[in-house]
Amino acid sequence: MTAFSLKPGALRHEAERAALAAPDLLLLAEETIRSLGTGEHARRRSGPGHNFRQFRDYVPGDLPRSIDWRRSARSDERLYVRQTEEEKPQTALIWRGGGPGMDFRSKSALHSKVVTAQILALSLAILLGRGGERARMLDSPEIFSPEDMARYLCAEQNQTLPPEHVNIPAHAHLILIGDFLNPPEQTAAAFHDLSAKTRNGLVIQVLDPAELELPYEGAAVFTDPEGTIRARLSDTQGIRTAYAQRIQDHIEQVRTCTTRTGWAYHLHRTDSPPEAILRKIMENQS
Amino acid sequence: MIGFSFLHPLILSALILLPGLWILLRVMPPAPRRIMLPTARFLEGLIPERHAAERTPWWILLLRTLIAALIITGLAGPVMNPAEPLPGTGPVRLVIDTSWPAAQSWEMQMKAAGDILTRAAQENRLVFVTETAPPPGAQKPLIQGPLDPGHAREILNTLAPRPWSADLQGLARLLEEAPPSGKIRTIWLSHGLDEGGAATLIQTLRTQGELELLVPSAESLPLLLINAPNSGVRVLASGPRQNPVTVQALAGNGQVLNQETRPLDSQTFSADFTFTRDAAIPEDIARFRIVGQQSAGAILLTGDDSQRRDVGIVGPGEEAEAKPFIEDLYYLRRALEPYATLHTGEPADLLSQDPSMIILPDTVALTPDTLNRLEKWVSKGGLLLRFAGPNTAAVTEPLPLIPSPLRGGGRAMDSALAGDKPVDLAPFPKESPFYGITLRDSITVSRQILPEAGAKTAIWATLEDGTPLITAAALENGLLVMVHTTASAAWSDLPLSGAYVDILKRLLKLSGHGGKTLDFGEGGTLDPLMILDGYGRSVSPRSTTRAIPAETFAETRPGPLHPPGLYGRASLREPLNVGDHIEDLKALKSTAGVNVHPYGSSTARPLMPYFLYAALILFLLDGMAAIALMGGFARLAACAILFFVPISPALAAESADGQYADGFTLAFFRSGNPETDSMAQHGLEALAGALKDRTSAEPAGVAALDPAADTLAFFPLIYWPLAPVSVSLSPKAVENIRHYLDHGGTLLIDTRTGSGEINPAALSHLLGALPIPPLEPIGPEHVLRRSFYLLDEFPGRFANGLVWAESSESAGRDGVSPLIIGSNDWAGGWSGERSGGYAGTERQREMALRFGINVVMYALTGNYKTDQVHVRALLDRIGR
Repeated sequence: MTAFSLKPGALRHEAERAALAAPDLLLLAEETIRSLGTGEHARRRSGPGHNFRQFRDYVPGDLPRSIDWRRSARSDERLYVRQTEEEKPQTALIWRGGGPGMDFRSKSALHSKVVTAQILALSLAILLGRGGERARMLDSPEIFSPEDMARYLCAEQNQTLPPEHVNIPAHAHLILIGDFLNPPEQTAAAFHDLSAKTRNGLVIQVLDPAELELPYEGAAVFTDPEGTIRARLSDTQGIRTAYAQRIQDHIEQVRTCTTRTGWAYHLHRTDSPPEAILRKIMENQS
Repeated sequence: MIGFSFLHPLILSALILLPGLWILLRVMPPAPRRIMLPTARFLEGLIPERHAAERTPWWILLLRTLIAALIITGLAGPVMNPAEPLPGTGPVRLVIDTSWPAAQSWEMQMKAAGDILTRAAQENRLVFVTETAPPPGAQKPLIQGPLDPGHAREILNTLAPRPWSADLQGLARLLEEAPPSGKIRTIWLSHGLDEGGAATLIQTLRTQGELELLVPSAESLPLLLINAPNSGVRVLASGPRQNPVTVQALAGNGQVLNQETRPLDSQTFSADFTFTRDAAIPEDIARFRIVGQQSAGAILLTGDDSQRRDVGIVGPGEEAEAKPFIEDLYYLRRALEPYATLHTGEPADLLSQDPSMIILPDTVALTPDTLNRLEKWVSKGGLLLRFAGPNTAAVTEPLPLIPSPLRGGGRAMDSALAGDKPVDLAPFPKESPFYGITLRDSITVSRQILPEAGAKTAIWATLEDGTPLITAAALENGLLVMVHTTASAAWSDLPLSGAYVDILKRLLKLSGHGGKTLDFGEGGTLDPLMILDGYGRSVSPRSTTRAIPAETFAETRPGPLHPPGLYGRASLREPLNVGDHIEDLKALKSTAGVNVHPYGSSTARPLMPYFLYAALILFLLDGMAAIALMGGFARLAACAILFFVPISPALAAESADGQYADGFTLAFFRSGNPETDSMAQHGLEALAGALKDRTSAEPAGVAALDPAADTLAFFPLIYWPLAPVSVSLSPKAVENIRHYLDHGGTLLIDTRTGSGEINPAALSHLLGALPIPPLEPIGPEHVLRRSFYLLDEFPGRFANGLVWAESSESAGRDGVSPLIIGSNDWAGGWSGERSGGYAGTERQREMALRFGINVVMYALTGNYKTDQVHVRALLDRIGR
């Protein structure tokens, strides 16, 4: 009987954390992208790139090596210059939150919050990379390849808020993924500092449906991830509405402090597939 | 009698505590679940709108109360169909039938006695234990008591059925002599038979108190086997019986020689069995037995057994074998050796060894002293067997110690001068001890010596013309037997026939018994050699068993001092049977006023274990419920699955077969004949070697398979050598092979006879229910001829046999035959020099190996090479 008297959920956490190794995360992310069904998001502008856009007449000043000789040979006495589409690289910086609370997963959730955050982070990195942007992790400038990013995302991460003192290139795209359950003031302060460095930000708050709806019934003892008992309830359903109100207030505060900095905000529930939020984001991007 | 009671009803009062338990449990709910929630912080300080009382769920309450109730009820000792209390008060007397019929009903009697003692112990009553049959060595039945029930039970355990009769009259007398103080209740655990005096005993018991009589059902009353007047055996019963009775005749070693079944006569309640002598077996019957009966009364000893007797043959000793005239000795020795201990020598030496039988093969020169001693020995019970011969014929004066005077000279029926022709032996007359010996071939006697006409003598065998061949006469207790021809084949071919041995064996039986009367000298006794116990098992005599004086043996009834068994001396055995002096069996009849019950009406069954088991199961359920309430249900289910997932036997079987799954293994069916199996093993090993050397098929080894037990699916080709004597296949094996063939296996069947023809019908008979497709000899274009080598013939150890395969018209599997059948003993051919019997040339062995390689390739590649057969037609068609 000793096995049963362990803290409920402890076993589950261990299992889930171990289950998601870097290759699995890569697979999950690719799967997510596949089901997203979108291609690359090229910018329809001429510029240095590989994709053909149009031919135009040669004007003096063009580099002679930009002349498309084959096209020119087919016409008489006109020289054509081959123009390709511009694919302006923009830097995307991705940060994923951590902490013990992120390991939570209720029955109805597809993944734990941390796995969901990992999938979202890697999928976004891959998608942006395909779209010509340079996606990297916010706190490790030298990682670029999806494999390395997957490995980085799977590493232990205990920060619940993004670091404030990082180097952010101008116009960089900042993507912050976490549950942001810290007191709203802390969150607001962190966002405020970062927004001074870039106006281009996106916050995805990942929450479990159980955290939003408190689906428990009857007598229960509630502890936080550290094991501290926070509430003993004889009748959990009796406080459901009051609790939902508190959580909604908290979410609203996070959203407000995000939009105040000019960033975009999305709430993601772990019981809805990551594709949905990704699609919304990609649509807003292009 | 159906009912329900408690051994310890006081414990039930604890049930009063249950309502208290209910209330106590109600206010102590199970521990609440512990839920980890990252947002638990937000729950702090929230007050539920309505406060539900913390109560234990009602079903948990019910479960726990039920557990407590079950334990209390169980401890109170519930009993279903409780035994009725012993009627009356005061001590109880058990009269237990322990005589021979009790073996049949012993278990019922002991169970009933045990039940009574249990009740007596509960009621604190004293017990008397009385046997109806005297114990071994005693003269009177034993009465023990008063005893406390525990002590009585110990005595009960020492009781056993005795192989002799009860002494009811004696018991009644004993009881009358020492009457109990006051009335005493008696329960008579009877075996159901009245062995004489039952009425007296019932009368005596009734005068001393109430009497209750337990009897077995009529069908289970014991049977008795006695000697029938007409030399057969008779089964006695005490009443009508529906089922017929089977009697077996057993040899001394327990072998069943014969058995017969017949119903009992409805009037006399008996059945006679005669095991007729013409079956040539009666001489070896040691005992008869009623099948299904357990008592010593169902055994009838005959006294006969194949005991070895000493036989003396007068003649030169062993060292003088070379002399030609001892041919007689040679024949006698060869005939008697298996059945008797033989001594050869001078008559004086032989007499000192006191043999059962002395044989004089054509011996006439005997000193008067020897003759006197011989005569004395015969008259004491010896058997003197004489053979005629040239010496006898030459004697002119009357010979001593012969059954009848002889006519001088011999009768030579084969001489040219006599007009007679050799005459055959006639069948033995009924009065002859040789009656029943079958004369398989005609036995011709060409010379003999005739007895004087008109001599008064017993004639045991005659020729077809009526002349006596074997005569006999009694000499006091002994016998003189004369065979009027030679012991060797000189004068007749009797010694060449089986009848010679049979005649000598019958004479051996006669020897030792001598005449009808037995002389044991003054005060001679028959010592117990082997006795029967109550269940008719042969045991060695006890210390209480006494020898029986020879003169009173015929009148002796088996009893405590003389249990039934074999008595006598080493050379003589007389049986003493339970049924001796018993003419009929009577069922026990009760008189009015006696309670008669059948056995086995009490079916008391304690229920305590069931109650406690139920409580235990509910307790486990309660534990699971508690865990479920604490939110660990998923883990509980997982643990339950871990506990209950059985280790699949299929998985284990697979791993055992797995050794064959990795490679390609040649295989053969074990034939059961070690020689055939070893040949197949060697042959396939040689073939595997050739395959490795020459082809890319590399067999991993050779496996010997049992078609009934092994998984055949791993083997593309199975070689099946048929043993010279093949056992038919079990249905399981047939099913297994059928499955194998239906799923693409190939079977190479080798009859190993080397004969050119195989009759498919005969093969089909041999292979039983296997699906044998239509077969045809392998044609010149068959792919077997070219699957690796191009072959014209398929030799094995033989080279002339045809090879058959499924006929191409009926080919179901893409033209690939599941069966290849031949007779060339390929394994023998492959193994070549490894087996001794291989006669073929090295070339033949090479061709055998080539055929083997072709067969393996055929099994592995199927009709792949068939395309090559058509290559010419294809080339023609595309015009090249």
